[in-house]
Amino acid sequence: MTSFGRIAAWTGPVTFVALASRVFSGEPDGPILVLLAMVAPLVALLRREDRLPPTGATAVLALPGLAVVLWANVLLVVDLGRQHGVEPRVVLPAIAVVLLVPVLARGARVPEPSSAAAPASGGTAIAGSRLGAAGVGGLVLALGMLGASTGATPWRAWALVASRPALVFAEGSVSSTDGRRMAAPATLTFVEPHRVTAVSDATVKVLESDGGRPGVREHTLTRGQSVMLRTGDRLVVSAGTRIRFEQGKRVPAGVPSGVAWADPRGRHGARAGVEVAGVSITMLGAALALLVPGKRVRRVEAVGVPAGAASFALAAGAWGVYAMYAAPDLLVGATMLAPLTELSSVGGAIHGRLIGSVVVVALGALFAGLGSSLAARVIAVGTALAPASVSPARFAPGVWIAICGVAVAFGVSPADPWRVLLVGLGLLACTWAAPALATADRRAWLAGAAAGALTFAALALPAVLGATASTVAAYPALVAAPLAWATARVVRLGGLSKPPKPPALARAPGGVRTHPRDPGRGSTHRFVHGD
Amino acid sequence: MPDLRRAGLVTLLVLAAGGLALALAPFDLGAIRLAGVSLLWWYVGLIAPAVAVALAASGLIARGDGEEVVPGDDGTRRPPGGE
Repeated sequence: MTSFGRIAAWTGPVTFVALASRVFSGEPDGPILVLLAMVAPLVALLRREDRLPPTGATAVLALPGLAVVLWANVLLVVDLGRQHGVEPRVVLPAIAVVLLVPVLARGARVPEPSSAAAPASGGTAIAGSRLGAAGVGGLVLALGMLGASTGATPWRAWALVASRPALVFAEGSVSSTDGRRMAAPATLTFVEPHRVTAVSDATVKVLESDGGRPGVREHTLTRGQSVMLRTGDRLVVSAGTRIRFEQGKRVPAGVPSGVAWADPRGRHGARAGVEVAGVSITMLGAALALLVPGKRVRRVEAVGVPAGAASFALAAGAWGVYAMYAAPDLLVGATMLAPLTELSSVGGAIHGRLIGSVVVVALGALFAGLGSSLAARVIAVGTALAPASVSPARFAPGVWIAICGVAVAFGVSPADPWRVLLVGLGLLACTWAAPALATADRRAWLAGAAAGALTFAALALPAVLGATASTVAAYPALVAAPLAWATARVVRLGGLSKPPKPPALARAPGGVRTHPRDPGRGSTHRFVHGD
Repeated sequence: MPDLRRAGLVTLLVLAAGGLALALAPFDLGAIRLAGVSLLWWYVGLIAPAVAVALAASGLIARGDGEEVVPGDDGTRRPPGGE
């Protein structure tokens, strides 16, 4: 795998959009996510190589994580298409083409199962490298255009937002002129009297808080009709409703001021600590599983790849800052994509559309790059699943095709791409990274991965079913990954696993089996690259 | 030079832990403003990237200068000339 292809599986569109969105909306974990998105891939590149090639059993446990990561990104691309008026029935076949054509047409050099720790290189990886780099370059370019439009550096924009006493609908903002269309159902809480006007026919519900006695009023508004809201009232609007807000009034979102945005309350306390630990284990573990360690790189790559990873994370963070600086009203009924795709009012309509176009193309390139990189990883792992009667080179691409089929089939589900991505990353941390860190013993690895997968599923299921919103349920890897590591260690140290099989022979040119370090010996053990 | 790579790896983890500690530090340490920007964001946006990129680049170069490993024709990995 060459240059940027090493981290293209990490720099997917969901990661970029989620980082930007969480910084924009002032989530407590915003800066931490930016930091982890930058450091985790670099840790993965510097680590030693996987000491154990996947077996069929470990591949079965590891592949679902890769599939869920792909699914999260498919969900985001479908959402992106919807925002631009392209139906999923058009987007999904296009996604399938992007994911499958490079593998089917150019082929991937499929390694033998014994070397599955190394990724398949060849056409798919090179494509992933170029597309991933182009995607990051495009987003940095769009960020530069955004910065030129606003006339402020990211740190100046941050300082200006952080000193705002209140976040208000600015003069000329789209929400107070043309009106804002709610992409999803929303409940808006007003902290001062506010007149809301329907731009199109709409039915809204007002939850009144009149002297502590709650009441509900339903209004059917025609175009141009208004509803007056008092302090403490909540307005319930359905998806697709377009309403106009009063200029100069506070934005009815969870962030009251720039000061609260800059230093959110949720950043402190025990719960915040647990959340930070959960997201750290999830992201660091997933990076170890997703990315292949760098080795024998040219100096330009040794500098360029880490710089690319840092640019990716920093550009996402800076984008969130610019979005809050230029359009805090996007907080109203915000979707994850809003800070990236709804900044058309910045710097004039034409400039805004140009920025929007560059963003869409760049996110598409990131997706294609991620697809190529994941394909190489899946094919490398999938070889271990090939039955004896089938060549791994023929079987492994079929595994990738099946995973793509599942991801595309569920591409229209209403799941949140960021939550789905966290599930995929968490799974990878539990079923791959944690046991791999604990041992190079095959059975111990498998026991740890199985324990991690079961624990992860047990903890994540209530959150998937909507039964709980606890921190552990949000980041099941917080418990499952250490458990997977501990299980693998106990199995190995407890001698519960059988001694390793006699090593395979390396075939030297000419068909003579030799020891790789001592050509004079007639037997060999497998050479493992590491420390 | 595996020591340089390992040192870079450890320092990267310390770098990440430093950010987490700053975010969770008591007395809102991370919220202290320097030139209008919070300490946490200076760390995430300037200090950590500069150090992380330098460390990772050094580690990768050090690994590249070390023993070369090439895949064998049966997928095993061996030093060049080791047949």
